Amino acid sequence: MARRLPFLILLAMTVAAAGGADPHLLAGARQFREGRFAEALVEFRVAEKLSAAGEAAWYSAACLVRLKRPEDAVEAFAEAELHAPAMRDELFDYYRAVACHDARLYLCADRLLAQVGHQAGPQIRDEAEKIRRRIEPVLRAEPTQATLDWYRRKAKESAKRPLLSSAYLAEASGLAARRPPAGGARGQ
Amino acid sequence: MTNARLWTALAAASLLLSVPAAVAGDEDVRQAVHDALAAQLPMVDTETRLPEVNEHGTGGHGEDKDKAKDGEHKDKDGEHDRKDDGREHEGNDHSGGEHQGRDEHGEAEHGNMGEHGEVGENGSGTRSLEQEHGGESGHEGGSGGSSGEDHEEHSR
Repeated sequence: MARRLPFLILLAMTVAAAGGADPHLLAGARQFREGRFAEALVEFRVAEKLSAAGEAAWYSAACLVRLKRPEDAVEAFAEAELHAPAMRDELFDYYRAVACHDARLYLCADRLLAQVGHQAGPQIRDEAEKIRRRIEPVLRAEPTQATLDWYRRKAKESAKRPLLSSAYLAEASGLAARRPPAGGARGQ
Repeated sequence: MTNARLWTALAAASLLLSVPAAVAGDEDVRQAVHDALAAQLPMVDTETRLPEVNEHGTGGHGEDKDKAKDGEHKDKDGEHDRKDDGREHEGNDHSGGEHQGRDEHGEAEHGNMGEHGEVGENGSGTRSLEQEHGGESGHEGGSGGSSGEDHEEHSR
């Protein structure tokens, strides 16, 4: 038995290398292309478990965007970036920006879309510009205290999800920086 | 003995051969997934507006139920009534005056904040009174409320 051990180990490694996450990634891609995002998410989640590369986490996050679960997507993208930062590209930035937008994290969305604009292909770039045009007047307006409170409350409510919570806090800080100092002259 | 060595050598060889194949395959797989993602680019279809915390602190976890009730009342009250109500509220954001308007519609009897109760504890679907009752209101009620966070709540 001891003599066969190296053989068995090598055989197992070979099988793992031949199968692994790829079939699930391909199945997820097929489901995603056909608009079955929930099914695609399941495949990508399985791929995440089978592969240490971390790329599947980005794909799962993209599924969450299409499933209209922006907060989950914001969190998933942040997590994916932590584990596989090298996988980040303009396509993921676009998806992530849509998630940020839908979670009302407009500064986050705008920052990501600004980067998309320089690197992406024409279709993504056009869509990114459209979204930026929607966000621009919103960010131009001075945020009210009630707005800042909303973001802080969201951060508090999502305290058990640190990545999401910090996204809301960062938005609150960014918006607060756009307000005139207390006691100063307010515009209009 | 000889057989074991032979099989070990075969397995090692196949592993060595599979590594570059797997690497090349990874690129193909990655490209396939990227192509799928690029083919299904998401579009922004929710309202773009800074939210505001509900200073009355109402809403809460009964948010969806409240929305459903509001919907019923919208049908009963009719479009014109709601628009009038909206004008009444313009400029009175968070002033407390909106309660009277809701009382006229009888929405207060349900113990919620009417449309403004959508803000809820989670703050999702938040919008100003002007926008709530304004030109886009017919559509926004759905889009704002379903801006994803509601779906999240359901999905959890």
